[in-house]
Amino acid sequence: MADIKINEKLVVSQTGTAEPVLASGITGIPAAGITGVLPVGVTGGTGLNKQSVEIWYEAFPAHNNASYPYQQEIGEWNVGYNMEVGNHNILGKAPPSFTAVSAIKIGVFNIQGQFANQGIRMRWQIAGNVQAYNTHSLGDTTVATFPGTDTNANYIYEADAFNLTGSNDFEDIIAEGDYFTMAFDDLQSHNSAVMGVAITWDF
Amino acid sequence: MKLTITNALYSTNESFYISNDDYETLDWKSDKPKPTKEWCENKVKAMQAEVDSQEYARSRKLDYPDIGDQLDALYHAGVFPANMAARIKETKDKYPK
Repeated sequence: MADIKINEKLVVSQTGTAEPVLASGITGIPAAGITGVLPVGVTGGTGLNKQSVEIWYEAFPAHNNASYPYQQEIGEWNVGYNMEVGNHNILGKAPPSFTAVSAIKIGVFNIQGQFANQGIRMRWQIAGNVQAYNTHSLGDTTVATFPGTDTNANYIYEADAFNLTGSNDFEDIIAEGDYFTMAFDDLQSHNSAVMGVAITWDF
Repeated sequence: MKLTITNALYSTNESFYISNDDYETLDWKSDKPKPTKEWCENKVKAMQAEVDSQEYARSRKLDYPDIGDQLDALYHAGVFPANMAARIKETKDKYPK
C-alpha cells in the first residue's frame, strides 16, 4: 500500500488492506465542478459555488458609406459614428464550459434628443463551427427606448436584452463554442451609438 | 450572394426567430401578420433578382481604375474648367517631381 502525499504532506494513508484513511487536519478547496460529499477534513469549499464572469464586447460601426466617418467624439468619448448611417455590431464567441447566460447589458450613448420613442433595436445571429452563418437568427427587436428630449442628449443608458422576447432568446440558444454577432440600429432617425455589450457567463 | 428566407424575413424589419433558414422553425414575434411561406419564397426570388441585376455594377466597381487616376487623365486631356486646371497646376508646381 502507499500513502498519498502532496508537497510531502500526508493526505491519505493506508495500512495493509484496511480502508484508506484521510489524514487529520487536511484542508483544501475543491476545484469548480467537483461534486460529492466532502470529506470531514475538507473545508472552505468555495470552488463548489457558481461563478460568473462579465465579458465586454466592444461595438464597431459597420457602415460602408465612404461619405461618412466611422467615429465621433463627445467629450473624451470616442464612439461609433451615428447609427443613422449604419448598424453598430459586435462579434464574439461563447466561452468553454459556461452553463448559462445570466445578463445581457447594452451600453448606449444617446447623443441627440429629438423623438419621443427614440431607442435601439437589435438583431443577432449564432453559428457553431462548420455551421451556416444563419443557423440561428433574430429579426429586428426593440430593446429599449430613451427619453427623447434635449435634456437627455449626451446621456449614457444601459439597455437590458436579457429575456428579450420570452422564447428563443440569445441566452436560450447560445451554446459552448458558438460564434455570434449582434447588430444594433436606432428606432428613430437620431444620432446615437452603441458602445458595446456586457454578457455575464455563468460557470 | 445567395439570398434565403432569413434575408426575406429581415426585410420586414420585424421581430422573429428562425433556425437554419427553415420556415417551419419561424417564431414570429411581431404584432404584424406572420408572413406566409409563399410570401417568403417570392420575396427571396425578387430580392435575388435585384441583387443579380446589379452584379455587373459590383464587378465594374472593383475593376475600374482608381478615381484619382481617372481625374488625372482628364486633367492631362485638358478637359477641366480653366480655374480647376489652374488650381491643380498650382499644386503640381508647388511639389515638383
